[in-house]
Amino acid sequence: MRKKTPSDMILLVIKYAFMVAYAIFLLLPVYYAFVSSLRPASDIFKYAAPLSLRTLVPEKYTLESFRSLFVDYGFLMPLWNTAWVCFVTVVFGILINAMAGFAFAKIRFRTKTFWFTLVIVTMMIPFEAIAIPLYSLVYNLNLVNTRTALILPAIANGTYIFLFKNSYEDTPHSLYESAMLEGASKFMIFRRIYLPLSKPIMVSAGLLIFFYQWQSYMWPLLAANASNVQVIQIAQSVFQQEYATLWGEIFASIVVTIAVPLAFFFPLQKYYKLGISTSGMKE
Amino acid sequence: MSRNNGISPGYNPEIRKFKIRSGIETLVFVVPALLLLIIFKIYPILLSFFGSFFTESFLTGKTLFVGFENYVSLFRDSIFINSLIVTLKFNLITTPVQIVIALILALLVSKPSRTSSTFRVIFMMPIAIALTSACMLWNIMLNPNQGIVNSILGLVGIDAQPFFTSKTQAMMSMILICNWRGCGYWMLYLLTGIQDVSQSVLESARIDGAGRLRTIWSIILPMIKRSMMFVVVSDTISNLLMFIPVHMITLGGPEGSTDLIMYEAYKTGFVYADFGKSYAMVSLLIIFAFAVVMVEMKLLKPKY
Repeated sequence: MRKKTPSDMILLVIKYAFMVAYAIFLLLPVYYAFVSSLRPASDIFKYAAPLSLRTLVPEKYTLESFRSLFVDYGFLMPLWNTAWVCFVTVVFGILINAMAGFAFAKIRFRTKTFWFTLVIVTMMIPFEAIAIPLYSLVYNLNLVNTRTALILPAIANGTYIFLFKNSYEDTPHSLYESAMLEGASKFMIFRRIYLPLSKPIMVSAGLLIFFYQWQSYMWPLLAANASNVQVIQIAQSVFQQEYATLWGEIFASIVVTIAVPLAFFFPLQKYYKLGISTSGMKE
Repeated sequence: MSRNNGISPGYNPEIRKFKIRSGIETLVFVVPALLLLIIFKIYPILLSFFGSFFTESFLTGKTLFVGFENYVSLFRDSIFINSLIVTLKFNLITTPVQIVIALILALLVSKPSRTSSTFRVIFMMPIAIALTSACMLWNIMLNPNQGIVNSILGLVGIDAQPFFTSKTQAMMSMILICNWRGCGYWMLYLLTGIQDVSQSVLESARIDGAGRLRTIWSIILPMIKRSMMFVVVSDTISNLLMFIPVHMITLGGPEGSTDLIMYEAYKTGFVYADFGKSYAMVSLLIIFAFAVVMVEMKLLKPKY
């Protein structure tokens, strides 16, 4: 280690000042949402200006906004819808993409290159680009305003296939061959050897799929905006439009919507990072 | 074949049975995923290109082939021309700013240490927050009258700003929200690239007397070209198709200053029920995104 010169110290101070400032920029809105949702309705904008300690630290705390949101305005329904849509997509998404990834990594079959190119092509198509034409397809399939319409298009995804393929390719091929020689079927090999080996990738893919479904807005807006199938993103935006002055409930709906993914994110963030680093850039 | 006592493997019933079973197994592995991808990803893209040559909504069942009429009418439409310009402006600012901030953040937290990893998690945190929630939250905070941002500006002696209610500031406010949400996400990709740069290379650069900036410019940047290319391409595509802030906050206004093409396409299809024209907009956007991506890949292509 070389000695720290004064200019090093100044650089270090600038570096940390910037990092702290940026962290505040990111955290302040989240903190503000939580704090506002816990305030009595009359206090929410009482201390908004000029800025004082009271703007950021409430005098009184109450859960009234949450009670009202769930009991009076039925916010449990969209929460349940979203949970269901996420759960089903995650389960089938992991299974189907893992199987395809396994096939592309380990099984030799004709036209494999062609199909894999197709998978890569679909990776480059962002969902927004196909949302409008997809609506006409789902309309013709009579699936508008069903949860199936939200689940089906989100299951198969080139990125996750890629993720599983990369992870399976890293396991030695001899494992596959020796199991094959002992007469195990491909299902057996997949279920008993490869699937357990890819547990971290399964968590990563599951987390990515869950975030994607929880956060999606445009597709539910087009395909499922009826109140009985509404997901949480639509519900919070509709709530804000309909009850523009119920600030307590609006903040509570935002807090519910961001708290669930955050609760998964903090303990599992290293899996999220794993998913990102395994998918993006290889090959 | 004579080694198998004259029986070629294809005609051995046991082997043949095995081959069929094995083939069916392979199909079961790949068909569900490929079928879903073809139905829900490939088909809609084709439908969008195909449908852009027809007029009248699919809802009435009557369709009429009109050739390039939808495209021609788009370019005669001053609203579309405006949204084309707005989309370009939004992208020319958002994408480079987002990538530069993401790169700075990634460089700041790339060293493995406790402080770094704490900040890394904070910088990543907005990934967990949907853009919709971010829009709602920032829209409240940027409220000209009772928003907390104006209170903070007031503290340092800056007058209250109009933000989304002003033609000149609405776009910038939108970009602010997109960056708040997006930079950490792109940082993560660049971070994996930076962390793959081996310590020994950095060490030898230090011994050779390279300063910090020199190391970043001549060693780290060239070595993360792959991640950089991925980020540039993905960020371009996602910003070209930006929809949520417009639909949630500005509705294209004030005076069309935030009217991104994706929102126009949505409105044309779902408010005016002109799907042919809506498909034409989406198709143009896809073709344009593809062209931009091609140029970017050419410019960023690793030279080794």
